[in-house]
Amino acid sequence: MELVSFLLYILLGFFPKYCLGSRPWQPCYVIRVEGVTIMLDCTLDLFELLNFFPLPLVYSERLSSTPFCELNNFTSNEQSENNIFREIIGRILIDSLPLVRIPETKLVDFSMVDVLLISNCFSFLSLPYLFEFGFSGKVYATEPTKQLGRQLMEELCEFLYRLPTPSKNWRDESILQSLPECAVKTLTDVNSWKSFYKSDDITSAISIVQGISYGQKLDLFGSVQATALSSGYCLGSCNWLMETKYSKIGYVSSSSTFTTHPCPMERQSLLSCDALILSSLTNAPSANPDTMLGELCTKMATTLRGGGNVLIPCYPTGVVYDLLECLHTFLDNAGLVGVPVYMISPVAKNSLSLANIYAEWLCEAKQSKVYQPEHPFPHAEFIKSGRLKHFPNIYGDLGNVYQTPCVVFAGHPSLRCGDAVHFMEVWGSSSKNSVIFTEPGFDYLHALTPYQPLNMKAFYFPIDPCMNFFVANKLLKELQPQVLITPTDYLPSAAQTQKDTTCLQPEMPFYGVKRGSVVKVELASKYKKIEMTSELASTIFPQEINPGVMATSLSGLLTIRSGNNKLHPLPHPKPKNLWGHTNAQSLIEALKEHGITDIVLDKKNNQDIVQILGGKASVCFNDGETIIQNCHDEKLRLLLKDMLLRQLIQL
Amino acid sequence: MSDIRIVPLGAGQDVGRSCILVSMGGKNIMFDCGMHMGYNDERRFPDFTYITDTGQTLHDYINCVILSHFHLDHCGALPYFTEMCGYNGPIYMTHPTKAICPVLLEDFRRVCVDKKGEQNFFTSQMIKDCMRKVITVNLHQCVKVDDQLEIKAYYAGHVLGAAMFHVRVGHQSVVYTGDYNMTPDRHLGSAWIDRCRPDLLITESTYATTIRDSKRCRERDFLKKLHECLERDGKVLIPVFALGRAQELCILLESYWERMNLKYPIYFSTGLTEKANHYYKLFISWTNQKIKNTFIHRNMFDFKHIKAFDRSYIDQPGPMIVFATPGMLHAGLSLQIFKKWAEDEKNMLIMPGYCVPGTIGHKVLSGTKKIEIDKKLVNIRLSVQYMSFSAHADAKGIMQLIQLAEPKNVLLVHGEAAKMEFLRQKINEEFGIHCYMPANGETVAIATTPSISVNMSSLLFKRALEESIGAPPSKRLCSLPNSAVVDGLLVMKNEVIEVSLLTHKEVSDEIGLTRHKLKFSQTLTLDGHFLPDSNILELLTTSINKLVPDSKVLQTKEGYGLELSGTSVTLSIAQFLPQPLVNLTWELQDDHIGSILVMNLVRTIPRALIMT
Repeated sequence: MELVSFLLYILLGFFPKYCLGSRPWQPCYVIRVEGVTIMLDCTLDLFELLNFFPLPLVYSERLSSTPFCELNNFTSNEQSENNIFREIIGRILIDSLPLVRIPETKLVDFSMVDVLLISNCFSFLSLPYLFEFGFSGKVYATEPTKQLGRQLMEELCEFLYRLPTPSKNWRDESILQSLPECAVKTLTDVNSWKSFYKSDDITSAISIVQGISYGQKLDLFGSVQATALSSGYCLGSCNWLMETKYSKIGYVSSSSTFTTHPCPMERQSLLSCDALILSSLTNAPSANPDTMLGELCTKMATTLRGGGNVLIPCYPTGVVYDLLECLHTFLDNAGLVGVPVYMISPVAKNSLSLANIYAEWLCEAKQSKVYQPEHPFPHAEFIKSGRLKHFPNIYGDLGNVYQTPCVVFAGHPSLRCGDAVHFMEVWGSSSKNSVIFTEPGFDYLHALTPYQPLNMKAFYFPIDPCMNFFVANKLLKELQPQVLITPTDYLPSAAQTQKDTTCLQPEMPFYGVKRGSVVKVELASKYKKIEMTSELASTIFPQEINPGVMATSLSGLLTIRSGNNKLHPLPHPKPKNLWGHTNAQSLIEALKEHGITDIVLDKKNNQDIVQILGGKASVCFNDGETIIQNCHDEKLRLLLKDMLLRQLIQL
Repeated sequence: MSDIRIVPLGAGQDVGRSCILVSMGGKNIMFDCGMHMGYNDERRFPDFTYITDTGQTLHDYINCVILSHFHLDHCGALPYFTEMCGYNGPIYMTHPTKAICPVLLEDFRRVCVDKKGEQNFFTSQMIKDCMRKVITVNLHQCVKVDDQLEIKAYYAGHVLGAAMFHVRVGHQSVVYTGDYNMTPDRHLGSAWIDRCRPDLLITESTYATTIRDSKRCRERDFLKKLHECLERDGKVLIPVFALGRAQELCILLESYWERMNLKYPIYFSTGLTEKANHYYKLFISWTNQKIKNTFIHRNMFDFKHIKAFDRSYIDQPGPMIVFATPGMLHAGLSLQIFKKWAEDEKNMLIMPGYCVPGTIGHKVLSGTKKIEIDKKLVNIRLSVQYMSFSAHADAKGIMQLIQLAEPKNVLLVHGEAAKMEFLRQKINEEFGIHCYMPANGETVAIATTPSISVNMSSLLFKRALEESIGAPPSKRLCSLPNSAVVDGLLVMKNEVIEVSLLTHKEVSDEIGLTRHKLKFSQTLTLDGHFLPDSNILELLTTSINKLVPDSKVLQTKEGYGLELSGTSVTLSIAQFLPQPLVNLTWELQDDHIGSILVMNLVRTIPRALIMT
């Protein structure tokens, strides 16, 4: 039996090693508790996509004429062979198959990870990579998370592989050294960058994910019970509560208190955790989602009225459902009824259909629609009425119905791959058109780099429903965890003026974690849960000692097995004990009542001694004990005993 | 308190008005609240006076109502119970049940009130008000009704949204199956439950004695008969309920028509069709894996060959298939069509589900050839086929479920007494567990041996843990591996909810109670003079052994003292000369030994050795 059971280790396997612009926090934690190793999320860092040159869907004169970067130390002949890096407005982009970054793999032996718990559809895109590092654990996610995460994986896979893109050998040390320093700075640790997985990898990875419900108690090896709690962020998103017989650990990540489409965040169960891991707060702390949505609509209306088109680079799931819902009401009210809205993604149909079959995972207003019966999301009706059209890509049927001005939702928000690339190319030259960024995960200016010079208007209205610092601070006050574990970036730095809107201000002990941190947290709990057999229970008779409080002495044989500690009866139970205080005066009075009056009360060093004259006996009152001494009359001794017992409780 | 008590108010040795009351751990749970289709009198609803006769109101008595699925024999009395009898406590069901149940209730209400003109029936508004009180549960979600009562739903497969419920109060638990199906069908998956080892499994037993032939054969058989009838220009009537079996049969016919390229018209009685199918589309996540996987590309519930029925088609010549509600031919359109078609032997009636006694469906199935319908005698000439499509578990399925859940007891409901008896014996023989089959109103009490959850002080636990691993075997109080003797004080606050086992120190901190010892001390003078070399300790030991048999007397380490092993009794020599003085002490728990020694020790010291 290991005493580790009282400890929680946290090993963190992710970013941000360096912070570039709005680099988001990408969670991947490994905790070890009660002998079970649990990985919490395994996000995929797509931020490096920005270092790559866009993958056009059709030949683009402009893109292909972007000059290559001159490498130092290379002859012009070698240069042309190594036409890898293109330079635009001082930035260097790699013209090769884009790569992504996976969590830190050297810190933890992935084959030792027993369980992976997933928070939302965006937070497990590294799953297909885990197997090559020996991971063979169980994976749990809510059913919508599983299905929608799959769509995200498949979309990106399609974006990156639908046209063959040469994978060039740019990671060669000699080549990297010949790059200007400003470029190399952003290309760190490049040998750990990975090419994106293929369709088969997705299928096999998804097949091991076990779909679960909110509030479903998962038994992890008999020692930890994990429960998914709604986090209010997106369809099926959850926080995790991990309970051992002795303690309670919460993992709160990407949670929202806004009223959007998902089930509201469940907080009650997270109250007074022994340890709380708080992660993935909003990536746009200064932007209020409602204000941003308003701005988005205004700019969209202006653009459309001016005869321009609107591109909204987005993911195929998440906020896009809310956008689609608001958009139509807005267009109607703005008198832009006929404007077509296109959603273009290889998984558009899947994502839109899936959203409407998970009513039980939605907010109450949406949930109640199915009782009509109506679709929870109005986009089903928009599709039926032809106001919203979705296409897997720009090649096929889109051409037959395409009308401008229009609104297009398309991926990828990095503008490095996907159909959005095409619209940037086609619409970029006209100042009538607008591109409106809503995903805060990418630096939008950097995203626009390859399209410069750009005439199209660009707006950044980040909509990230996750909690900001102000809300998170309020939440911490409410939840009152014993210990807080959170990214160092969220904690106040010494230099910073401390405001509760710019950082967390925990009132409880806390640990800041960075990529590669290992934290040891002692989980001291006052009680351990054990079970008393009914045989033992039937032998005890508790007595009331105070109003509402019953007590009895209890001895038993405790058998300790992992996760199941049972108390059985002993063949010979231990004797009862006495509790309370005795008092000399009360004894004297009792004796007098009994006709024994020949008594002297001595006080020596705070000790009362009752002498029963005639040398018959003495009773010594000490702190915690009473002694009947030298009583030669057995009847009197029993009487004294009886009188003293009446002052005490026997349990 | 440790008994689980069960009373069926309905569905006890019967099918219809399912309503089972379970009491355990001070909680009362009502499973299902159905109506009996076979009756028009007060027997239609469960007998709630059983509860109100206790003098308590319904919501004081019942902690929660749990509904297994949307069939009327399981939910039909709910608006009556909540709106007319006044229950206003919590009601739990799955999302699809909540969605579909009011549709069927309304449909039934219309048949009864509008067509038959019944009085004193619940209104449309009552159905709405009632459904508003429903709390929905997801599969496998643990829902806490209150601090002690927890429920969890499992997939039952019977109809869309059908669930089995595991209910737990403390360490006692009961599984109620509702209706379930252990074999996957065309649109639903099979029922599943984990090894939750409840104290009691309450299972339906509709097909207690049937072992159905393979599903595929039954389907082929069904299609063949259907096809033959149509070829000989006959009309086929299939009475169904709007939701459930109807959708499965539609999928079956749709694919057969497609494959055989048939053109015979298939009609579905109007009203509910489109809406009903829409429910299936919205709750696709409750259907089987195949439908879930393909719904994005082709939704199985978009039927191409099945069209809406119009009343005028009844008298149209030529072959056709009509699905009409309700399913037991007790009222409505299906009965109307039946009346018209019954006397033509070319036609066919396919009854795809169970019919409760008292309905025309039941009469037809039991072979009655002349039936009075609306005061008119109808000769039944059409061929009648009973296709057992009703997705209930058969005997094999019930045994499978018992195997899965591993209950300690089984109780049968929702079946016929004679068939139950057969199954009861089988369960008893095969699993060696008790099986009960109470009639309505009959109480069954099941004794359980619950263990009690205790919060043990970490300090005490750590001590025990250290003892179980750390202490050398000789020092250990207990020789069993991974175990330790624990001694503490059990404290219960606020009844029995908070039971904690504390160290003595913690007790004084927590509730201000301190340990106290009552000790006795007696100086014994041994008369006479002993020889300087006589061993007084040995003499005392001999005497003590005589006076207190079984005692083990040990010499204390410091010398000149004795202790009785395992007791608090000690003796020390205070003085040897001139008269030996022995100081005898003991604590309360050893008072019987102390008393014996005080009175007898001096006397029994061998006199011969005492010099006077």
